Amino acid sequence: MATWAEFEAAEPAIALDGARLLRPAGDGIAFLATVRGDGGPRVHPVMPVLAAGRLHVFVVNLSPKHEDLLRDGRYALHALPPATGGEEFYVTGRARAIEATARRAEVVAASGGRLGLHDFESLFELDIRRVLHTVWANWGTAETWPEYRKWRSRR
Amino acid sequence: MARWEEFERSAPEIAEGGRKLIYQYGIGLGFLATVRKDGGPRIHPFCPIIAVGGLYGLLVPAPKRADLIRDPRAAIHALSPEDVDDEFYLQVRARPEPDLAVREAVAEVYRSTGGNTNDTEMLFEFDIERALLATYKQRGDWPPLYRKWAAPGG
Repeated sequence: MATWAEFEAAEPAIALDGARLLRPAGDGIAFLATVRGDGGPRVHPVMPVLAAGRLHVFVVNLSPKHEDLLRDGRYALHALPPATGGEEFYVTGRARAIEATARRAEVVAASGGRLGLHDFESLFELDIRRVLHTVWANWGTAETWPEYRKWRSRR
Repeated sequence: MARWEEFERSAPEIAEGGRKLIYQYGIGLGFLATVRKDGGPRIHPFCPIIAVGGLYGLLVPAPKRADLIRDPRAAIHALSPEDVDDEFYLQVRARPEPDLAVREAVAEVYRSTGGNTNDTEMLFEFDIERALLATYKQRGDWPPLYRKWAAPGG
C-alpha cells in the first residue's frame, strides 16, 4: 500500500490527471465501493480530500458504508467522469479509520472547511494499492477504445 | 428479486425518480460495482438501459463482466446531478440474457438514446433486491428524504 504522495512521486503525470478528475479539495464527487456484510458490493458517492500527502474521505458514522469500512477496509474509488466523458480515474486499496485530531484538522482545512465539521463524519485514509487512468480514444463513436495507464504499489 | 417493471408497479415514485436520475444526461449512466475474484469491490461506469420491462446492461469483455459471470451480486448507482446530491441506488443480481430478440429490443432502446453497440457485448438483466432514492431540497441540506424499497421476500 502507498500514500498518495508515494504514488505521486512514482507516477507524477498519472497523479496530476487523477487529481484533476478527483478534485480532492472537498468539492469533487467520486464513487466509493465497499464490501457489504454478506460479501456483496455497495456503492455511494463521497467527496475525497487530499491532505498531508494522503487521500481521505469523510463517512457518516451511522451509514452502512462506514460499517463496511470498519469490517473490511477494501475499497474501490472512481472519479465522477468529466462532463465531456472519455476519461476515467480509478483507485483501489484499503481504508483506515483516522482518529488523530491533528490530521483531521488538516483534512478539514484542505476541504476549505466544507467537510468534517460534524462529529458524525468519521475520517478514513485511503491507502492505495492500484491506480488506473483511462482515456477513451474516439470517444462517442462505435470505434472507441481504452488507452490505459496503470500503477501498482509494491508494498 | 424483481424485474424493473415489478419494482416500478410496487414503488412508482422511487422508480420514476430513479429513471430520471439514470437518464438525466440523455443516455443512461451509472456506476456498477461488482465483486472481484479476491472478494474485494470493483467499480466502473456503465450505461444502464431500461427496456422491455427490465433493467439491462450491454457489457464488453472486461473484468466487471467476468465478475458478474462468477458472482452475480452487484450494486448500481446513478450519476450525481450537477446542482444537487440526489441519489438512486440499487442492490441487484445480474443474469445473462441470451435471447437474441430481447437483445435486439434492448439494443434498439439503447441506440435511441445515443448509445453504440457492437458484437462483443454480452447482455445482462439486473434483478432488483433493494432500491434507495435520496432527495435533497438543495446542496448541503441534511438529512435527505430517503425512500426505500425491498423486493418481497428480500
